[in-house]
Amino acid sequence: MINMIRSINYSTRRNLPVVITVITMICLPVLMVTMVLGVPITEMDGGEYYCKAMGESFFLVIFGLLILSCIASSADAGDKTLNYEIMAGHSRSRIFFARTIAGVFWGVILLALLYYYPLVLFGCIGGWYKGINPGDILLRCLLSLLPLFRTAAFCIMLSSVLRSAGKGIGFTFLALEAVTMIWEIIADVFNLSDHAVPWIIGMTNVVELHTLTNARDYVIEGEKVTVYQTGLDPKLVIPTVVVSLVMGSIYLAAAYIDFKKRDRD
Amino acid sequence: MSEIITEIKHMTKQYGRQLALDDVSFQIRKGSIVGLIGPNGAGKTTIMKIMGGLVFPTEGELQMFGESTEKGLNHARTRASFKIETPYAKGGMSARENLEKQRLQKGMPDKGRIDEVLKIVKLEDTGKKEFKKFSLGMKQRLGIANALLGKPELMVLDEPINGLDPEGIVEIRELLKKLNREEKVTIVISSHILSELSLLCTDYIFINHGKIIDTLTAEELNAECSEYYHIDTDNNELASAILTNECGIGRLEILENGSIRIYEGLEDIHRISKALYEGGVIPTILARNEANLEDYYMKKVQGV
Repeated sequence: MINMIRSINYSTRRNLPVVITVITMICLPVLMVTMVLGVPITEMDGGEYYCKAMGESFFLVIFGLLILSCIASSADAGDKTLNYEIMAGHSRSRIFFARTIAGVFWGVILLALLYYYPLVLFGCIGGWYKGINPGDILLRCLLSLLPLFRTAAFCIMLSSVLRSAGKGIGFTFLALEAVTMIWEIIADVFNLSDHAVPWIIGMTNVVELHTLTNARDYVIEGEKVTVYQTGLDPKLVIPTVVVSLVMGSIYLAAAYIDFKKRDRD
Repeated sequence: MSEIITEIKHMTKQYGRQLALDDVSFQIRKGSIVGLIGPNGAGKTTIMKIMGGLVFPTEGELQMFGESTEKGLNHARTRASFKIETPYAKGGMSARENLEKQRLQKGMPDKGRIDEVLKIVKLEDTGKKEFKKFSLGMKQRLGIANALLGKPELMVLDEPINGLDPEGIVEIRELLKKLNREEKVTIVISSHILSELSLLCTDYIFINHGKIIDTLTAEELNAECSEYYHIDTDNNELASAILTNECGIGRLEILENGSIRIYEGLEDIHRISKALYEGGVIPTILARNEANLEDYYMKKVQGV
């Protein structure tokens, strides 16, 4: 299996959309800070970046997740180079898990590193805002890996069943948009709480994890400090963990059954 | 009798209502070069895809290198290589990069093998040229290079010379002959260029509408493809009666267009032409020919 993962990584590294996506994500924090927030880079610190830019930038990051996970897991299905793995005698189970691992590595681990590195970068440049507990933020970042995994699993499922990274990206995006719109209509009609997020597929879960809603102003050592409530609400944590793991597993199981049983013409 | 390395028993493949393979059975001997011959849609590629594990048979059994279980077949496939349809490759990567991807996937430690196979198929000078910019002939060569990468014992090649220039066809033919002769590689090959297959194959499998209609060795084909006289006259019906009754020719064939082929009495053509003339028939064509694989194919597959 490790050989197949190495092979997938080899071609994914040479994929132009992947290269463009990674470069864009590396540049994104600087662009966010200078052009959207209008703050000089040297004056930005890690905590402030977390408060002001994480939620904003996430809706661009979601494209990164779609592109990276779909291409890593299923680009070889589109050009049929995946067939060589079957013909070389690898079992379909191993091939599927190798692709899933590659899809999760590129679409979750690498993406998370690109999404969260600005916290370290601006932490090094401007320090860390004292009104935000870095331990809680680390926990939120780690917890957000679960809904990222769920979305990556959804991408892997669609691109695997459709046997095309491009179709996977397109249909995942459409599905995410459609679910959000449909949910808004349902919530409006039945007067449901805005908080009742469609976690089964929606991505707002990650945004919620990175949104700090409550803050109080204190004066510490003569300096006015806005202290954010960064502790996680169990009402957010439990569904995040359960829904992400259950739905992620269901998506991957569906993709696995299709991969194992269907002819590859 | 040579060892049987691949056997297909009573195999059926159905795509929806369409029957792609209908109770197909055959064996492949070790060291043979087997030509799979049939028209488009006959089922050749389906057989190859089943051997490669890409397609599951609806019924029947595949045995390769003595293995027939799913796990066993996967193990057997490590000893084989396949080039099915137009070679699969990454359009944005060079020949070397595509082979490197496959080398990694196969877990081959020897990086030098890539240079060897690129040299064998004469793609060593393509540099960074991307696969999508390759001609069909170059793509075919890369497909063959890929098939050679793992030093297989069995090569399954679907239309490997399609798109190659005449020089390339000769090179690939000689390469396959050499692999078969020197490294005892068994080869299963399909092609529409029957003249090439006849220069290469030791065994033939004729398939049409998903059914095996004939299997024979090159020796048997040679025996079948004996010499004959092609005769056309102003009255072929009368001519055939004269040939049968007066010349005593038993092996005679009347083609759809009325032309006559005789497979006996070839050394006695003066007596035959005299008999026809005296019987009131004027020959317009009297030509000595040798039947070849194409004739045999037309006869078997198209009934011509």
